[in-house]
Amino acid sequence: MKEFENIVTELPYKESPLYVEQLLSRCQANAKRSSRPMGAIITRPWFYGIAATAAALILGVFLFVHNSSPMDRFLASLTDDEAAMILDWPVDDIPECYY
Amino acid sequence: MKMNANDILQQATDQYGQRLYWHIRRLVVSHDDAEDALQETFIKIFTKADTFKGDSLEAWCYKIATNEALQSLRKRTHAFHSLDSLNGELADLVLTESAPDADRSAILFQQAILQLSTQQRIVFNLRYYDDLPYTQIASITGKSENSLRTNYHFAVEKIKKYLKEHAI
Repeated sequence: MKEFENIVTELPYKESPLYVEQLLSRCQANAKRSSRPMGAIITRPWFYGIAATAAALILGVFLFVHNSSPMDRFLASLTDDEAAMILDWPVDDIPECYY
Repeated sequence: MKMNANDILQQATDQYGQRLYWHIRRLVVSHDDAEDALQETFIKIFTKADTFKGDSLEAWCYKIATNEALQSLRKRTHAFHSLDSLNGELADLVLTESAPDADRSAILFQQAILQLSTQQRIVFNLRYYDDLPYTQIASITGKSENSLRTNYHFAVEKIKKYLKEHAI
């Protein structure tokens, strides 16, 4: 174009044509995926944030529930006095997690 | 012969992909925003392929890309402010997004474009960088060819003035 011949009008950004090519391939694949059921959601970046949070919550609950041993669960089913007798601890020292 | 969604997407990627990315990038400046807008553009091209009437795929793709770029800018605009209120912020962003060895006049030229109104900027970029004819730009923007010519003329004048003020 004749208007700005004597100055640099190229873009100053660093992304190479090869990089943009790879980006285009990704976008094309995601666009095709978007037409599948749930596809419109799974191609959105925010979906991964929500999915990661949900997975962390589920894992947390799972670990919380399964972290107690059979012995813990057995002790939790006892009264304070029974637990103190089995553990041979004073009643006041029975940890709260056994209740 | 009517093309199906896969053909349209393939053609859009192969023939116009690079240009669509840079068109969006020139408007939104940030690479991350451009990537998101490009992704949305391709999703729309694929999912709305049945609405393509078969005249100019290039203009249709550019129209979608332009709308997605504007949508991306709208998300960054404060409530009750126009898109043009972002111009200063975008001009600053050019500096942070530029390559370390970028030419100073190249940066200044982009900043000069970013002080144009959004409408002028779209017209200038499509005409100057993408070399599209006014008929094509008219179908992308929905404006008359005469008003586009006027927009382009004023855009060039404003850029020249800005460059002169900044000693280029």
